Amino acid sequence: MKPPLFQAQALTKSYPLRGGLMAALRGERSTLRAVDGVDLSIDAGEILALVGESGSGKTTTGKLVTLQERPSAGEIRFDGGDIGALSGDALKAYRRRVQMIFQNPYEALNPRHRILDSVIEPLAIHRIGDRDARRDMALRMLEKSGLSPALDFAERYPADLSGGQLQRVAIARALVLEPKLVVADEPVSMLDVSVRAGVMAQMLALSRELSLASLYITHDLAVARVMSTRIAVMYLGAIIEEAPTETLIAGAGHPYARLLVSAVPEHRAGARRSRVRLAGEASSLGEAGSGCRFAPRCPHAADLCRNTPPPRMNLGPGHWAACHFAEEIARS
Amino acid sequence: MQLLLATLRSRFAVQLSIALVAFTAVIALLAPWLPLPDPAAMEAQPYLPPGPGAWMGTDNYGRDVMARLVWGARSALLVALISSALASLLGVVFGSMSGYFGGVVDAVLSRTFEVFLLIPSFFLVLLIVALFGSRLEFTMIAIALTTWPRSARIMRAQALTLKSRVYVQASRAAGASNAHALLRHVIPNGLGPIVTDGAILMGLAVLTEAGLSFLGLGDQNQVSWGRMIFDGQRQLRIAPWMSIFPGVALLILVTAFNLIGDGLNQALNPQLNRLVNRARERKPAALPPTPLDPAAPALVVKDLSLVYRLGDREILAVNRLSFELARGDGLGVVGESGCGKSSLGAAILQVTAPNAVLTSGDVDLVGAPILRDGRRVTNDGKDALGPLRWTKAAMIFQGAMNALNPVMTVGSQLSEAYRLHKPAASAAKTAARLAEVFDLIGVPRARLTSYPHELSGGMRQRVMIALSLLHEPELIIADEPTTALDVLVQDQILGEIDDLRRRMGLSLILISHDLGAIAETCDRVAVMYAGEFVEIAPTATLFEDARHPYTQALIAAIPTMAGPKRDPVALPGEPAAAGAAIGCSFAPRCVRAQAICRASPPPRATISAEHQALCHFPAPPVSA
Repeated sequence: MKPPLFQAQALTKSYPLRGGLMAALRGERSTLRAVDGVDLSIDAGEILALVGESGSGKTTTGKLVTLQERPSAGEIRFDGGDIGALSGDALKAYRRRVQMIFQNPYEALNPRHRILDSVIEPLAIHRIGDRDARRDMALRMLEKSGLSPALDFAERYPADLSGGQLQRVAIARALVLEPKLVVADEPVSMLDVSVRAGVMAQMLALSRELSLASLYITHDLAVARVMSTRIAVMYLGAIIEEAPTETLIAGAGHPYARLLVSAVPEHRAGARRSRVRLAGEASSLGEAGSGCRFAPRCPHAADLCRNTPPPRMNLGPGHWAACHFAEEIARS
Repeated sequence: MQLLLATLRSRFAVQLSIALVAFTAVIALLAPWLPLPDPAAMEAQPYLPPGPGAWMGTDNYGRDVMARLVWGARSALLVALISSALASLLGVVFGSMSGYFGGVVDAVLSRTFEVFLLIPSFFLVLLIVALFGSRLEFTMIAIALTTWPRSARIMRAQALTLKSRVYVQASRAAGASNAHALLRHVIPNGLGPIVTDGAILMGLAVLTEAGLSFLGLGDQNQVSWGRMIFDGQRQLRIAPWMSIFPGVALLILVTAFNLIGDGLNQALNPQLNRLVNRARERKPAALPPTPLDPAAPALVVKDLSLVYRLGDREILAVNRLSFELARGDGLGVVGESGCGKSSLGAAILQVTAPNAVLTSGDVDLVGAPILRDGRRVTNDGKDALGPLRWTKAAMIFQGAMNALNPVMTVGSQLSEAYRLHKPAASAAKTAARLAEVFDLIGVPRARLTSYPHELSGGMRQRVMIALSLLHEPELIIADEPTTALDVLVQDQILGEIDDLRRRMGLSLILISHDLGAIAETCDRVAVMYAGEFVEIAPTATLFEDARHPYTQALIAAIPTMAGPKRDPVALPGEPAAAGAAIGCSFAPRCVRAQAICRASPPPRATISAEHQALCHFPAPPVSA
């Protein structure tokens, strides 16, 4: 079997917390584990959605994948090679092959640069082609991103474009280097719903055309359903369920994943859902204790959950959930 | 009006200042070729008063004051230019590095700025003069060395915010070096305030140089205004012109530099600029007070229009809009960015931006007229809306959760707001009411003593909802109350709003770009496009039997969770401006558009008593 394009094992990122003077005097050092032992694997051309709430560590995971942040522990392999310790030219080469699309389109482009210059910039950084070649490549990429005719947009400034158009420019800038993997962090969440569909369709078409693999980070399962073939659900720094997209939506095994499925507003006739009321808020990682990290809020939690960390329960091909009662919940 | 004049006047002052500095610069540059006597020549008669031959008189050595003034301008401007350029350069280089890299680099550099700020410039110059002798170059370096930390600190603050901008991160993620990111993105975008401060630094440099020369620490071989003033003040009785002319020149030049700095600041700071666009307030309409009618609808809006003034342009945001909201009714207003939905909410409660004008419309709130023909209504000279705001109608703004004061506990902010309308309320009664509204919205009472930063986004937004409920209003206008929140939190909060509405009989206007979010909370939905309601219908009807092609497109664009996977369909094109089209404003994006759509405005088609669409061809949706 071919190894996956991207693979991360036991990926961990912890940040030191300032515990105050007394804690420092006592020699206590507390850390916040934003990402806690995450395994990820993405095949060439595949789109994996990473779904979770704010504070779940999904954005930090994205930054680890693009090496904007260095992992505190764990191993990352890309195209067969270990990339954990890359620096200098090797790092620059990695950045060419792994690109990022960010959430906020309104800050995505330098307000003083023309659209075309923003798309040319990555090519210039990597010294690809001469001036004319870069210009052609950038124009072609703008066109492919749905800004057509590209020449109409090339000479304009970001302030003249709408949010949807700006995000398309940001997509063109990320893809102009022809990366193998793109990490997209909530690229449509700040756009109007009506504009989202177009941007999502464009991203899907481009992924197919360029056989691009993506890690698609979102808090919205409905968006994940459109974009991905596989979903990993993250809660407080850890992945708690992973499954093929439709399997997860139809029969999630983790109560938290089920909750996310039910939280998407449904507008179909007569589909007023019964809202699941959830106790509390995602607590800080410190409060998780020795058992399941979702236990304090979980409607199904038993003593077992509070004391014993849940194992990965296999629920089907490519489908597992970290919950003691996953099998019963998935069947219900 | 007054404000506009004030701004114009300050603009005029800026123009005058630029002209004065330019004039001084030209004179100074041309000094050697001007028909002036040698400034050092002691040829004329000493103490000659101003008059023909010596327009500004001569000094105690018989030197021509005007010639000396012109040559003095050379050194003043040279000092201004070189030392402020040097200070800005040092400031930009070290300030941007300090802010961009942070950590150890920042710690070391920031301490360095502070050390330099502590050195008094006169002391440093004394030291330099003592060591190297007094020359203009040393004066300039000394001034730059004592002023650059100003620029550095400004640049550091700029770099701190700019480095987290997405385009800087994206550039780094694309493989750019730190130097590239700094030089191409951070510094060019952070230069604005440095330029502004540079002009003020120039004034400061001129003044410092004059001061140094006055003390005899300046270059003895250069003519300097400071030196002239010093020489003149000893002869003040006999020859006042010796010090008056250079004194006035110094005053004018320094003031001009400061005014230019100020003008640049205004020009570069859009927030200050907006004041210029403040629209003229329309005369209020005086009406006798109306007793509140408990049977009247919560809100009646008739023919409401809102226009934004931007310079000479007028942008129509709400276009002759009418609707009614019964008590206890929930109306969702949905539309894309720029369709005027937020302006509508703001217009109803008259909390519009300073450059907005209501050009037409009547609004009645719980039976009381608050707007007539676009003019706010007054009763006996008092604003009719004032006492109703918050007690009868409250607003929850988009991103309101970031509007909480970070240094006050949420409890004290709420009690302050409570006492605003009930000044006589006792502490116990206030506390009881706060606890009550927190219970209503499902926030634990213990959170009353929390500071905003200790609460999550969802909790803060709940606090804002609690704030709007304080005085038991009958109508709540919520503008994108959950847009910045996660799906899960959004779901909870919408559920809570829905609950509250049913329990307390509230009327609600929920404004959102997300039809899905509105669907479960409102009885009726109005779809807004280009400043108009293009379709209005009961929620279920709208989703099953939308007639306007725009509504149908909006529904098709929502990704779904229920049923088989269906790809959302994109809506082509960009939203249109209100009132711009002769025909239907949606025609350019419409799949069903015919010639008539572009030629004449669409009629209001009535599908049922509760369901209307603004369309020439209101057809049912093509069933999926």
